[in-house]
Amino acid sequence: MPHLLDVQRRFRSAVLADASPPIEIIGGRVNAAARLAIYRNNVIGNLTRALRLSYPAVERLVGEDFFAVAAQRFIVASPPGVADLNQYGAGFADFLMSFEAAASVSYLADVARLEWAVSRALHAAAASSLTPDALREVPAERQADLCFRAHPSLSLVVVNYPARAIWEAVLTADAEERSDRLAAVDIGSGGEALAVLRGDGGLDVVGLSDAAFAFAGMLTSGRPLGEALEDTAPDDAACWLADFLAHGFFADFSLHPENALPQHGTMS
Amino acid sequence: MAVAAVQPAGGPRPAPIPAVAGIGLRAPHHAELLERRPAVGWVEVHSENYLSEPSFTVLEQVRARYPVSLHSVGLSLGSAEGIDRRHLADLTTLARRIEPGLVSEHLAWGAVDHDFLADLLPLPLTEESLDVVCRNVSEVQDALGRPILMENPSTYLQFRHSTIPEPEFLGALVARTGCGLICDINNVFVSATNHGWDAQQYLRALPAEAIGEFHLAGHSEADGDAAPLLLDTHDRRVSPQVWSLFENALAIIGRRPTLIEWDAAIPPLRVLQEEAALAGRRLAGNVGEARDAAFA
Repeated sequence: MPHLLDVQRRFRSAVLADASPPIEIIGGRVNAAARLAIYRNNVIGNLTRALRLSYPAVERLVGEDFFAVAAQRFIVASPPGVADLNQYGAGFADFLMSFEAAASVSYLADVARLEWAVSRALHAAAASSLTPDALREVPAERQADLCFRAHPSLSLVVVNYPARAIWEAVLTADAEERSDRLAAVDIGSGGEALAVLRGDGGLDVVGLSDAAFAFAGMLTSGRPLGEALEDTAPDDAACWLADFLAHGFFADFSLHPENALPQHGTMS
Repeated sequence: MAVAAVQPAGGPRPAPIPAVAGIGLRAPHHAELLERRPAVGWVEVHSENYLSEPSFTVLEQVRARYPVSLHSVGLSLGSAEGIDRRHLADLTTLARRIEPGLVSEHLAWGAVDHDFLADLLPLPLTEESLDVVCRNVSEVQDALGRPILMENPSTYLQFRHSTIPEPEFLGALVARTGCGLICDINNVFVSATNHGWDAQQYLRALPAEAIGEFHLAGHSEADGDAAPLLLDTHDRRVSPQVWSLFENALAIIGRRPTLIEWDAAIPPLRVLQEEAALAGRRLAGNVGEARDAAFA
């Protein structure tokens, strides 16, 4: 008698690889292959639906049928590693980059990259944002030691095409307005550096200069402010930091190295 | 009174699920349910849809107005390798925050080698599978600190090496883990049709006292190579045969909280309420009147 684990592995192959697996199934009026095909359709269908929810703009750009083909290829190569399907699809942009059939839509992977950041932002855990007030109690001589913790909804995304304009245009509800807006996008206008997060007012997509983006990258990866400032003009940095705080890029801070100063949580 | 009573810390206390009709709440009906506040006995949601914060906030508002049952679809309690601890931790957190009247899952599997296949896949019904499911159910119950209900699946195939009839498998699961059961009437009908079982006999073979809930939903007929199998599509009204089997179940098993589920081609909330009213009348014993209304 086959072990359950073995049966489950073969069943996965049957569903994902479309292979005729050595699984002993009672056929009867309907043969085993047709019975298995019901499960294959369910699995591919459920996961395609999950991808569709995260990538509505990609689907609109390529159409339902093309999206379904791309999704199936992606699902077979990279099934979810978690049960929460909101977290499924992280690698879809990279997959689209290498998907030859999509090569003519050069900006598709960038739109997918932006949509994944949007999806992450919408499903992230709730966290209050660090306000400038919370930083007031940090003495001037310790400001260089400030280390920030990124807000859980924040993603920093670089794209080579005007992905935000395409994304906004393609998700316009009214079909006529949509095609006008899409026609107005200059695909050759270059790339963008974006911060995507969920704030009090909902989804926030912030365009950043390359230098501000690099600064944000250093701070959100936990490097002390003093270190991040070494390659940056101080005036610019003060402006950027105020801007990051205003958008709620950070959830919290600590001082590096940790010392006897009161923890942020205890100041109120 | 001069001093207000001290409220216990934490979320709402569990509201029991009454033995009346409830509806499966899906995202398209969130806003209407919260605004119109229709007279619905209770609601059941898929736990996996409320693991992220914004959706949780909606569920919290629903929970303030209706008793809530948490129905999971992703724990994969039939997985030979055991269940995903992270997912169980997420569910435990959700249950602590929502204090549901019931928590339930399915006799099925969906994950192997950390690949999640997002479907309720069939199990060979063997002693080995029974050991696996018992171990996994016990782990969930220990984590939640309460028994869960296990639902009979709708299936499209049977393994040749299965040795235990499904109702007996469920009965053994109840005896060994102390879990309860959801008797999904539509699933009984679908599986019985697909495998040539006797649906009445199936209902009689279940341990009636362990059944804590009924499910009702619509099904469709497969086409092409898969005809004449029935598919558990949850995309239409409950069929006349399933209503009739529900009446039999009420006679054999008794009244239980009864859920109307609808997951594809989701109609206006009003339609779910109509279906719930039809179930409610049967639960109240006015079976004849309800049948008249169904075909009016």
